[in-house]
Amino acid sequence: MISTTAASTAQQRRGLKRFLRHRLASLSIVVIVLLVLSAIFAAQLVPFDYRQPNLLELFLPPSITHWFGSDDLGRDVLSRVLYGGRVSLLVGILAALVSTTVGTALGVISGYFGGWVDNLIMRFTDIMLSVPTLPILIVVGALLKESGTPLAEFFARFGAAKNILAIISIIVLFSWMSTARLIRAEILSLKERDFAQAALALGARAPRIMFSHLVPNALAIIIVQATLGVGRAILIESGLSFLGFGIQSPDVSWGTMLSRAQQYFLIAPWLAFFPGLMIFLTVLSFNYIGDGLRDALDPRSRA
Amino acid sequence: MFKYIVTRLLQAIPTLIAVSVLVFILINWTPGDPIDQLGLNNPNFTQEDYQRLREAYGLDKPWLERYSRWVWGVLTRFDLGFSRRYGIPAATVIFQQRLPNTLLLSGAALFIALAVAIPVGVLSATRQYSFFDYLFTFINFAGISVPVFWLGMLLIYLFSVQIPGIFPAGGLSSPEITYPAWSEAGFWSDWWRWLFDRLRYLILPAITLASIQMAAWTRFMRSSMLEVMNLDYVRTARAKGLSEQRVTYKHSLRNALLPIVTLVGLAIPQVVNGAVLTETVFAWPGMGRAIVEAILNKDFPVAMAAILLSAVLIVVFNIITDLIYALVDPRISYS
Repeated sequence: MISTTAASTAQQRRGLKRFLRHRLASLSIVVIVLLVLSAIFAAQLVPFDYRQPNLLELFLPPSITHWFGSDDLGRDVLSRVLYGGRVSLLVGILAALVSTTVGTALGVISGYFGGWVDNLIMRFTDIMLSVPTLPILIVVGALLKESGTPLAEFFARFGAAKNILAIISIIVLFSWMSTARLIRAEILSLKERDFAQAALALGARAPRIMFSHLVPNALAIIIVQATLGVGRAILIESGLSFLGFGIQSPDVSWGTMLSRAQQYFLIAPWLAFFPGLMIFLTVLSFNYIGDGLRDALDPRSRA
Repeated sequence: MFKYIVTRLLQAIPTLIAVSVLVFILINWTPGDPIDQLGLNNPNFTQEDYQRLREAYGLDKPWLERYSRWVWGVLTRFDLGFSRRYGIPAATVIFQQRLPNTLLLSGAALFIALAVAIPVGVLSATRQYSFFDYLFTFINFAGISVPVFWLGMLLIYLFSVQIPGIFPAGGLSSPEITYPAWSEAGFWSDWWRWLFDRLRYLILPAITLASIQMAAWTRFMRSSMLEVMNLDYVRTARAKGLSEQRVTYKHSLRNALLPIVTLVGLAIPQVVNGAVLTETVFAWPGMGRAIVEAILNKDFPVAMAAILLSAVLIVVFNIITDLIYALVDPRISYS
């Protein structure tokens, strides 16, 4: 599938065509590219320092100078939204990549070996699926906030990135399960196919069969899962930050902005409107891209 | 069937142990124990007092011993510990004050989600690729992508700030309207007033919490319906000359509804998560809000009880769902 023979490039071209036919997915790609670019070049784009309070400009509604208005400390909301996008997008993308990798690895191992390995991994997956995720994330988030706890000390060694790394790790912990299940089911059917049996007959070892023969054939599912995972991770991060247990000041994410905005909601609704709209647009776009990729890569699964 | 129920209940035990051990350890890592709080306001509180009290309450013991004691207390005396904040048993806080509110909110949300998802899913499927279908596909995508707490804030802004007086911005009920005492004269009018008041407070948070399931279930209902509509027996029904309406509602819908049952059970973890956020936005005094408050106030017995109860709810609903599925779908048996 990822080789460059004529047949597979034709297949890729057909896939690309199918993806482009999904207009909303194509539009979503544009939105995401713009969002990522604006996050990367936030420093060049923002008109104001996102951390600089300005006591003369508290709670200004959206205007020509402050497109998204200003907040309770007189900081420019547009600048904060762009910087917040850095954290939210980074957390979402990295968490999705890691959790898809973890889920794929566990799913492949479970599906390929079967027997007690499969049983162990799948029972563990079942347990994780019936855990109340957000409440436990709140407990972990509270632990990370306190200095001196074992968890906080572990992450303290990462310096400035500790906040983001900690959030990514705890999101990954609770979001690999659906990928693991889907991949396991796919591997169960793939490993009976001729090409896998042929590799086995040729004497290939288990890791080789799993990772050079089976995983590439499950790539469609993996890519779709990773894309949808970004949206899910951004929603978890924003929810956790909204409750005050996620990203901590001075770092800013869309979720933390909403958390502050809640107090001033009645007098300054724009503080809540724009960060929330960004979360919504980003997650919506990733979901559309995931849907488009599913149509393009795995046409059989069209609902 | 009985054997199946027993097996499922036994399988639930590792989950509950895992959740309780995890939360217990995490909470024990958090600095500050109940004795610290006692010492804060008392200048005569010495280090010796502190040690003595720790020993008296068994807080100097290793966590495994304290965990076993806690579990023993829960199982034998239903003793979930004492709320440090409210000074009453944690079980009272959770079961009497918070759980009923959460059940009301979640029940209302699931009801709304089903009431919207089933008809819209059927209409989308029977008019596949129509304008209606495209519109609702978009709304579904929006529904699974919107952060619930932001949706809640939008609804508050639109329906209680812009149009004041109908939907309150938060809370459980108006303080001046209580459940009426029985009296021949004005009971029923007071009762209606009470019901109306509760509904006013319930509607916005319930819609907010329903949003994810509404969207996800509509999509599922649509594809489930499309699948059934192409089966042979539906074609047979049509070939017999039955009306399209009869084919849709009697033959297709009834079978398309079966898998929906499983979704309700699978949605419970999401509802628990959503309830935490929704209750925070709407200041709804339920269990989700209790967890957030308990962690913020270091009221750990309440946090522990609420999280464990959430896990129990998830597990129990999963089992109930599987049983109902077996009841409604004769093709499945758990014997």
